[in-house]
Amino acid sequence: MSELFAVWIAAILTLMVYSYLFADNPLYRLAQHLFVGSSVGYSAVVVIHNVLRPRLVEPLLDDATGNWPYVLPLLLGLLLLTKARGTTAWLGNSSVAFLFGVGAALAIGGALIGSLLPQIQASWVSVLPNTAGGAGAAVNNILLTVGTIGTLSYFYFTMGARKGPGSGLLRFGSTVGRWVLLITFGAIFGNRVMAYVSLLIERVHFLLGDWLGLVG
Amino acid sequence: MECPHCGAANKPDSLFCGECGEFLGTPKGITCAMCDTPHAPGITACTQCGARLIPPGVSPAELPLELGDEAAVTDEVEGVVPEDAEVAQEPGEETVPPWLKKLEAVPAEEVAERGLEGEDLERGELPEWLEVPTEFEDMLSEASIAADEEEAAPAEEIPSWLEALRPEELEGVEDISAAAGPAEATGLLKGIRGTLGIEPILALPRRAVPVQAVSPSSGAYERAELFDSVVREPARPGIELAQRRRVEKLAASTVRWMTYLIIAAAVVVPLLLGSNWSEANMSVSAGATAMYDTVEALPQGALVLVSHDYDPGIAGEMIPQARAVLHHLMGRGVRLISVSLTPEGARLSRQVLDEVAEAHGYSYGEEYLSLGYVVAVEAGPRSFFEGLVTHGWSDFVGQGEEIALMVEFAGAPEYLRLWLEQVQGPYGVPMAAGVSATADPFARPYYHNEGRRQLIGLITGLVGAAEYERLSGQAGPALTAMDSQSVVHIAIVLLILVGNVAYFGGRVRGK
Repeated sequence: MSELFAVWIAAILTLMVYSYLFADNPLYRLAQHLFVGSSVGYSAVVVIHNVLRPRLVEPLLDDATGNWPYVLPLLLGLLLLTKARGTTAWLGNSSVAFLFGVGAALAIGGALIGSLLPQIQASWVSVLPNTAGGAGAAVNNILLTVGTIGTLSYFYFTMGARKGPGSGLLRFGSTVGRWVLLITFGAIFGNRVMAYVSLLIERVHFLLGDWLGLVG
Repeated sequence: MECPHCGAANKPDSLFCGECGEFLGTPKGITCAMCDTPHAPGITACTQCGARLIPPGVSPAELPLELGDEAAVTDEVEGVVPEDAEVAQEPGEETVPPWLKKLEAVPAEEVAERGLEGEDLERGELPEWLEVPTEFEDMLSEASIAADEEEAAPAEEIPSWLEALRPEELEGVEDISAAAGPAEATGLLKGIRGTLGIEPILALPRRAVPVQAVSPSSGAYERAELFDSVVREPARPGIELAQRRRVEKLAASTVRWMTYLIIAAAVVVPLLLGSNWSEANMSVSAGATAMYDTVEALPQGALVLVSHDYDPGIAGEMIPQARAVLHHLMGRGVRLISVSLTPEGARLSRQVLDEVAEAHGYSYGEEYLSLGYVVAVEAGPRSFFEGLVTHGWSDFVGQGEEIALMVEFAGAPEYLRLWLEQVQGPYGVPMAAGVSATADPFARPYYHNEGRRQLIGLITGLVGAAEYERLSGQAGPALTAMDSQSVVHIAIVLLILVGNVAYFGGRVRGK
């Protein structure tokens, strides 16, 4: 019974959202507000029951002496609450500094190890068919090389108006990079359209199947 | 103006007489004692400051015959200074100016310092550098002779017009000041009344001009009201323009609703027909194959970490992926740990996990575990992995046990990048990913990095889920939806073509 009720609620809310096809209306607004409110409320509950209670409160309540280091994050977290008032906001500066410092260190280190260096290494490819693994792979690697250099040239903003062969080559690379970027944006847009079509199909399948029972 | 010499009439403000050529200005006129403005003869009051130039009761004709010399006028006036006027100094007294007295008081030492030592000066004598040059001696001697002659002139020769300036009691007037104004207290005009000028008139208030009565004709008010109503009314397009706009609006609305209907039909009709063309014919990408092969190669009981990083908005793409891969993983008999970097993802993944686990007879806590939400910042995945594997804080994981595979379901590229940069890179964990179609362009470079194998396998969107279902031989909702997806894509391509043809056709016709 509860499942049937949930299906009806979900179906009605889905139709309320699709009513936006006609125009902006109160039904669409109601569904939007319900979605935002329930998401925020659910997130707060999850954070309390999945993070704060099991990872901070319970260790301190079970064995406060042995788990005394947990006091430090608790203190830093409480100091963050002082940011709510302007007169006491300075008390939370140390917490913010800690968060930003640790976050920046992890982000830079992770980006170097996980993205930057491996991707630089991945762009160092052979353009010769015998070493690239065939003519098709060689063409693919040539496109990769030209696209990478062209995109880097496009973002070389200090090119200026210098004359000479080097500047002309840079301009040509910049033009190539612009086209590579346009193709990339087109691919991103196409993928996004495909994603939305998939979501539409999922909703229609829900309405026809779970709600109306027309599709098995 | 009239020339005082020959009586000829001249234009006002003439400087010289047109008849006799005599100068008509200052030399023959009167200079105002208050503001030094020169005036032609015959003017009673100063034209600049308003002060009287001649006393009241005296006509310009009675003025001294020729007031050509201002010095003479001054001497005449000095001669009629009242007896009670303060005399500056006694006659015959040695007149030494203050600056000269100061010079005399300079001590001898200072004089010596200034280089005056050696000059034999008696008291009262001027030094050589103060003596009058010889070229000015004649001029000064003439001036002193003239002054002596004037001093010798008897006091009785005061002109009548100056005598008239002497204060006198007015008969019948109680208050003299009321009649002639306050008397001057200092200067040459001390004791004389009536010297204050007439207050000049700055401006006169403008006289109101009576408005002439207007007698509108009959119907004028009606026309005015009609004009007013026309002006106030907002501009309305003409009938033809309004009709054309209505047609254009209707056409745009029709095109929009036709597009909606075409897309809706492309989605609904294949679902209602239950076609399975894609199930039998669709090709499978290399990324999906690689991911399937990686899972297929996992030994039974291997530890697999699965992260469900999506929210309800993108769940329509991600849950079919998760369902297909989890079916395959549990079919291989591996142990699963599930987490999520989004709060909603924890609940959504738990539903799928329990559903698939029930199908495969998995028991919670022994063969699969859901650890819920992990904070989606850099420290979240890093600390989670460090604690789970290195310190073995969960009973599910043995100390030092390695993760055989990590499967990431990312609704956005940020989540994928977090796991890649904080876990896969530093710890070298084998990783495969299922991403939404939106995140695919950002994930694909990691998959194509053949040297580092950052992503062993990659599936994208609902299509990737369908590919995985087809590989694993378990038809699910993704494969069912593929016919609709294909038809919609074909419809979109056709609509784009038709729209471009219409657009460029309109440009050719000049619209």
